[in-house]
Amino acid sequence: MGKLFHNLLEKVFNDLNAFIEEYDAECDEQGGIRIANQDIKIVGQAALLLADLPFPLLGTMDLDVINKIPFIIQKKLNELLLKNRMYLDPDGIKAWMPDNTHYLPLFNLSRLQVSFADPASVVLSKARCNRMKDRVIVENYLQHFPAFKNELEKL
Amino acid sequence: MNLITEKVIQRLVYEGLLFSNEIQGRKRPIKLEEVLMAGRDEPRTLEVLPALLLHRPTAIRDLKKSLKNHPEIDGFIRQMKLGKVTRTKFLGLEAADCLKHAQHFEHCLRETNNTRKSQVFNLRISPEEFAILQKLTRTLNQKGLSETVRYLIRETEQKLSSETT
Repeated sequence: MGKLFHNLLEKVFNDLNAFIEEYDAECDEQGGIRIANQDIKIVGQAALLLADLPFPLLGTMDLDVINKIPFIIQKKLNELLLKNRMYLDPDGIKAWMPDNTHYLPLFNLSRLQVSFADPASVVLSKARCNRMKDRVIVENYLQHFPAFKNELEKL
Repeated sequence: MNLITEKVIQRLVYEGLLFSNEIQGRKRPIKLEEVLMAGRDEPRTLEVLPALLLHRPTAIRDLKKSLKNHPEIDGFIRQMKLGKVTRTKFLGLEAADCLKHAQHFEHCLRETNNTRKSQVFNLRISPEEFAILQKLTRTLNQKGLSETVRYLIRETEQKLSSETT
């Protein structure tokens, strides 16, 4: 099932990539400012779903992107996500992530590089927020990756 | 994971309120008590509960009766209906998150109704195939033949999609 989520995002980001290519082609023909190549960094529950973790995980339908992306890309991405009953969480950018977070490559497209935060950093971020809904995830992660306890103690 | 939690998640995934890395969506009848029980294992089931109660109340059996036993849930849903939510928490979760999911779910349902109207097709199938379809409808506990066809399309698509990856 984690693969289904991966496939869904693959389609969404391929469509977004095609949109940027078309937009730029139009700018070249008619004049206008081209869209620069974009980096998209996924965090939150979506990053955990992409990480193929060895325990059951649930995610709501929002996608958290931590880096700033131009408004036109946000709008198009949200529109593409909506077709799949998902949405771009406007609060994604406010998320706290550890300084040493690694972003693992997900899709390397002609105009888009999409990556997702490593699961340990995401769980650490959830542990710091200390929300009731995330406690089960932190416990499950500790159970499967006992070395994570050292990271938690540093918080 | 216990069977009740699994059943609740199956329904919430089916409704498009949750994603799961292990559980596929199934249209299974659920009760409010079961959602509350599932919430102990997976609090995200509670986070999307207001969305379900507001916009898909028929997904929950004997809802009116169950809500009488849970005035705090009933009160929150009433506030949401009126657009006057004063509480900051819903069953220990952030009320703002519940509202966000409910608004998004409503938006999706409206989009689906506007853009994805079902279409009528004439299908040519043999009497034997028709009999199988009727048998499947009974076995899968579906409402009618159309519902069975929709179920089979979804299941086959999900199966093929996981095989190709």
